[in-house]
Amino acid sequence: MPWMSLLVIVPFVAAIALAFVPRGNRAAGRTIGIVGALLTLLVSIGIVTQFDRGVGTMQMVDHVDWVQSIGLSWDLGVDGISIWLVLMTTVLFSLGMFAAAQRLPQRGNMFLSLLLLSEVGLLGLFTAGDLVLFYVFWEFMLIPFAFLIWTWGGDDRRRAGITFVVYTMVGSLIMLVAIISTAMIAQDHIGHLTFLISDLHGVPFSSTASTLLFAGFALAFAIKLPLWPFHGWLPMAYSQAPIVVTALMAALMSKAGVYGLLRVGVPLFPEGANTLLIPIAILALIGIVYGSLLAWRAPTMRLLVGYSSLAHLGFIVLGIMVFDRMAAQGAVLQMVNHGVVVAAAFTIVMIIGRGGGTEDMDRLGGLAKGAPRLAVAFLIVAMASLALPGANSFVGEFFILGGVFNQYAWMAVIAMFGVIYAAVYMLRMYQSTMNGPVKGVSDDGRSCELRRGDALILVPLILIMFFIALWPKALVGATQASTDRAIAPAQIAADRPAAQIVPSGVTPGSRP
Amino acid sequence: MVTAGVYLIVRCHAIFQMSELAGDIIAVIGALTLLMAATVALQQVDIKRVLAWSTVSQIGYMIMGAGLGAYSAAMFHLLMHAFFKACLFLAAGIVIHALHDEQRLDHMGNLRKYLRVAYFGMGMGCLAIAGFPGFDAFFSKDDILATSLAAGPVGVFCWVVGVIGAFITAVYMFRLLFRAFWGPDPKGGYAHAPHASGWWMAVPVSILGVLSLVAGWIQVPFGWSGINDWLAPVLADVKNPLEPTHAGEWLTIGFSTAAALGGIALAWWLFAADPERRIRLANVARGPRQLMDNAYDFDRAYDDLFVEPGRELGTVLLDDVEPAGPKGLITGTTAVIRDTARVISASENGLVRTYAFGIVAGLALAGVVLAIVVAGAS
Repeated sequence: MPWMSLLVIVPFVAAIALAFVPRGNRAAGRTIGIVGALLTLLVSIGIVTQFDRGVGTMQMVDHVDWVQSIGLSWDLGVDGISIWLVLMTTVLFSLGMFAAAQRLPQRGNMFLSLLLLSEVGLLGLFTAGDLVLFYVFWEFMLIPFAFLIWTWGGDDRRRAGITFVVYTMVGSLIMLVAIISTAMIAQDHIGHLTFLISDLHGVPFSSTASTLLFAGFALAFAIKLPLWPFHGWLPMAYSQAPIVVTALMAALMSKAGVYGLLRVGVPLFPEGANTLLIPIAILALIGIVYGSLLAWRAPTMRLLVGYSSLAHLGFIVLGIMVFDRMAAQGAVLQMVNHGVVVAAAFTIVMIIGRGGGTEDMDRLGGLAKGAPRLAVAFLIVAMASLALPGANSFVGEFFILGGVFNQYAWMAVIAMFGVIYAAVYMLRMYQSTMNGPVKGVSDDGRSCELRRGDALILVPLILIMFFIALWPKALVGATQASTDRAIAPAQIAADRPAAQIVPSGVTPGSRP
Repeated sequence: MVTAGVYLIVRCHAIFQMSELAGDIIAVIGALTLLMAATVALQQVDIKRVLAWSTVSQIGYMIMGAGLGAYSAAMFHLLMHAFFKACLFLAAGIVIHALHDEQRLDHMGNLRKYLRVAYFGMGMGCLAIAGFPGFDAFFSKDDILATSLAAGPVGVFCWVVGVIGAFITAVYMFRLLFRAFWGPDPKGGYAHAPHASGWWMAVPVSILGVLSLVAGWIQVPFGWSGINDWLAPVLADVKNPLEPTHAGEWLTIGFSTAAALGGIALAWWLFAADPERRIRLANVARGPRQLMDNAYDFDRAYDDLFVEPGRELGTVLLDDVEPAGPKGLITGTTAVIRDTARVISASENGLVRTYAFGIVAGLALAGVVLAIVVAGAS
């Protein structure tokens, strides 16, 4: 079975089918959307069950030579880094589809169709083994998100949408130049033109070329992440997009940038990555403190969670860029953790915003009185977000901080501020809306109480959090080999003892 | 729960053993804590606050001991503290319950007439915490202090602070006892006569009260050492374990007994002998007392040092830096593009003569280039 191709084809077919459902037939639209997302979830579960945890290279590869003359190929596969991202994408899109179907906006079928298309983009991106394919999916993901903001966003949606598209487009065009240059330069070494990432592993770029190419990729990734100070599009896009879209962007799209660093940037250009280690780490550290402080003062819950994402992604980038085995594993785990937690946090924001009529924290208060179940869920999510021991994020942040401390103790010291501030802003969000005198609602907050449909979304997310918190080895065990393989070249370039003896690019692995 | 820090220091003594300086810093912090908290307790009106600050102060003793390396003495005091502090809090609970959630000392007095069990519990607890000879903290606190004396100059400093602290402890605890349980009824009397507690409240308090007296006999100087023996296997790896000298023991017993009795006497003179004296002395040392009442403004200092700067910085970042920096990156770029576009689009004005001029100028330029190329070639 071509599992990998199915993974992108199933949601694509569902999206196309949705586009043909007549506008009035919302029931059929809902059914197709949800079934499409669930089928994709099934495919991804099928992939997970067949995944070989010991192998660090790409597995279950679907490879078709596409345009041989210029070395293009349809090449999809998973490895330890992408396997959980794929599963998380399908899970979150299934839940997001439920959330969207419950409160379908005008032209809802189109909305669901675009959601599925963005899922195609993300899944393709997380599985692409060819740089051009990577680029194609990178852009493919952007367009549906842009339309979702443009059409269904808030009052300022056009400006938010345009800013988002143009900003990220600048990054991705630079990445395109970097992709072409990479293949051209590598051609001299390999002997033919190829865009396959596995072929490009271990190509000895000159140190200038390595630095420039890494910088080209890193800029695109930094904008998508976003890394401070390239986050200018984030507050606008996050606050204008429909909240389901915001949740999916924060949970998944931001991971595209991190994933790019781990899949392309660091392994292909270890020398360049080492040159830019300190600058990028400093940007990440600034992002941690800056994002935390902004989250502390943010007026709305949505901006608070958005800026907290900036801080959390700073942690993840830091974990990758110090090229430490422990930190990198923490970063990979934290990608999943942050995705799950931030999706849950935005779900809470959605529920409160729907019941209270506003996401402004100053205008809400005391909702726990009428919505005790929401308060429980909120508290669990808040604790997970601030990485309380016993929460999934604790495991990830602990790994990251431990690894960072091993390499650059001063960075860990600065990063610790993010941990402290996380408690400040998350508790602020909880207290100002849930505790104190009742404010902003006439019914003690009963209208904010969890409904069955909300529980359907939140309960699975919370269960996943607890699962990861109690048994992170289930995830880390699968990611270990691939993570080591991704950062080993950079460790060798830095003259450090590498995480593993065999440098990447030498072992053919499971590739046919 | 609050004594977990002490437990953790003792548990991790292998780490603390590595640095004498760290131990000394901990000990000095413990000493300052016990003194500071004791003086704050002197000024509190809420009986639960008095007990809460006394807990802080007692933990100061334990931290001091643990920092100096008197691990088993610190654990000894931790255990004894558990008995008498539980006893005191339960007795206070009976009082508060009997007075319908009244916690202010101003509204209490003469309670020994009404609440005998609470009086017994509070009395036993006060004698214990003050270190009255024979009661449990007499043994455990003296164990810390006597061991401190063997710990060099820092230890001597801690010993002095500890003895002063013992004196203040006796004062503030008996202040609580005398003001709540002795003297006349409060002004205006009680709205309802304080009702005695049921047996389910009385039994635990009585048990804890008795324990406050007898528990300390588990380790008696010059006699036997139940706690030290019990902890010996765990603490076997401690380098140069501290042993109190005979002279140190006697010195400590003498001074701490004097401190306890002196403190009780002072409290009696201030609060029991003549209930009016307290009111006549109300204006003495107002400033320092105000400071103690505010717990030395630690909360405000933390606010000013950590909270406010963070909030300010966050606000500045949100209001000023964010629009200028990350968003400025966008607005700046768009402005450049827009202005460039405006210049270029100005040339596309739809007038034939502009375009004709463009064609002629272009041809002329082409001619010049051609001429140069030809000239260069020949």
